[in-house]
Amino acid sequence: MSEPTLTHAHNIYEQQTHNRRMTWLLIIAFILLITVIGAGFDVFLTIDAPVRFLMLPFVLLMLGSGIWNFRQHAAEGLWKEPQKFADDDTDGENVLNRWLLEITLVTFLLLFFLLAFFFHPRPFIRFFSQDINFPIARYLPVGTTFAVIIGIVSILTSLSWGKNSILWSVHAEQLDETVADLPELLNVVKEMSLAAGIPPPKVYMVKDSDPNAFTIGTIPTDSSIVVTSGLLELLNREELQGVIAHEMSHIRNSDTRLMTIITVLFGAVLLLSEWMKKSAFLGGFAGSRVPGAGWMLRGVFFIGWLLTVLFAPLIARIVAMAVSRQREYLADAGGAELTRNPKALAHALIKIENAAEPTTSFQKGIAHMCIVDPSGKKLNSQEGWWADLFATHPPLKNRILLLNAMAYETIK
Amino acid sequence: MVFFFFVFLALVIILIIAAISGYNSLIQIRNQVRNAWKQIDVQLKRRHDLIPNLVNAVRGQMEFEKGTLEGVIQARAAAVGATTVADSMAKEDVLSSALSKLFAVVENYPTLKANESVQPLMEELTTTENQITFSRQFYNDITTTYNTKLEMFPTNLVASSMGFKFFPLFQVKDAAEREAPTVDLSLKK
Repeated sequence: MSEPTLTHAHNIYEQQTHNRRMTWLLIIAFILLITVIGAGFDVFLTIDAPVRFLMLPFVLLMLGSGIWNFRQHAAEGLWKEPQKFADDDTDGENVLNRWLLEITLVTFLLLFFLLAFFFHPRPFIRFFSQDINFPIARYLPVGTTFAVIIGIVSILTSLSWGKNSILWSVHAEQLDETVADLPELLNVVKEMSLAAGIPPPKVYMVKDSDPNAFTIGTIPTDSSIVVTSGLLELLNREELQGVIAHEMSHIRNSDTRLMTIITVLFGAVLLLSEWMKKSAFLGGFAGSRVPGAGWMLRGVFFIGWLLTVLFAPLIARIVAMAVSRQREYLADAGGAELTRNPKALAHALIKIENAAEPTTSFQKGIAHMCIVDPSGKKLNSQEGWWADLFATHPPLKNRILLLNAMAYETIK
Repeated sequence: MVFFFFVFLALVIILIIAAISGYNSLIQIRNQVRNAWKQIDVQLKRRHDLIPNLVNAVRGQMEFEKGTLEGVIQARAAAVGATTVADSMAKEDVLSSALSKLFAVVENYPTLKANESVQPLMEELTTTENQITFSRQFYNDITTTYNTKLEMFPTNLVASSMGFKFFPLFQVKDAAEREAPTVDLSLKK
């Protein structure tokens, strides 16, 4: 996936267009996934009286708990290391909470069902039964609508994510004009902001011997660049300029905002697939909403949908990571456009690769915003398509290859 | 009949909206171009202010390179006194080459380069030169975007009817500066 060869090595502009197009394709894939999950629900699950009756509290509870856990769940879930993905649910307290939630849920449902069964509260039964058989109620794509609404609402609510907590958690220290001991860094940032035509971002430094840098902020006019002291020691002025240009083009492309949206979409897929799994289990396969189609065909489609729902978190993760890698290539090319010097960034990347050790002060949650994966050398130069599928960053050698190709295109 | 009327109405509304948004985007980007042009002036002013400090800092230790320093001082004076845009461009180019000569000289004297008062000034001057370059580069980038918009459909219709003009790109005036230095690698003497 997105393995660069020299057949699609472009100059700085073509490279950016290519990456932008890929990003859009991936986002469309994401939306398709969500729609498929929702539409399958509409097609395959009847809303017969008891099932619909069961649905209501379930939906409410899932909505509540989902939104409650949303930010944490999504942010932690997506950017974990790939090997940790398998045992996402095994970190102590989290597991206990989820078990408690599930047990409460099931008990609540059972109680509700028993109550309904024995006491027949008339108005409820009438409301949820087929008595009011509006065609619109019968054919309204409840699942799809719900899925899309969840996606949109969560995107809108998540755009105001706090960045101060991130800065605080990495022990970043703000540098400004009054701190005269690092004029070079501040000057380079100023130069790059001039080249990008955006106001200079705030600059922070973290005391860590491993060279790395990242950027945060959802709007270009209010962003911050964080660099480690190791980066400043390792690179010369020109290479530092390349790295800062890479970060500056992350800011110019609003990548933090894009990745926030992706994170949230990933969360929405998790939520939906969990919900659908349970409804499929409780509601069962009836398929009364598909007039016509034979049961064989319907069964095949149903199994396909069920598999999609089961693997949705995995697929969503793969797509999200692919977006992240496209944005890295894009920022490389954009940075090259700002400095008109792709070689400098390539040199910087080679230096960083050779010095790579885990950046201990950057925790996993911000891996996708760093210039190289903070978990160290192994992940950046990993081989094999399976490992690459779950990496936030493309392999460094590919990035260097493409940058060198751009340098060649520039002087040609 | 009513149907066609509504289709026609929808088309007209779409056209009007397209025209308005095209016009607005042109205005927006034209102001960015103007701002980028002014930004170059800001950077040039910054360089003029900086040069006296630099000259004072290195004067004592550069008795042997008086000519280079004099060149910088004169070029600065000429650039500050420039009146027209074309004049200013030419004189700033002279100043740039005088400064790069000074850079080369300082590189040649390790004691001077390591001097505590000279070092920050050299960094300051490096960044000023870079900032001038990058603000010119941004001007060219944004102007290219603007000029492309003027030529592309459908904004070209709005642009030609509203009288939007192309902006010139910044380019090297001096023919000598454009020429790549010739490097003679042959071993014959």
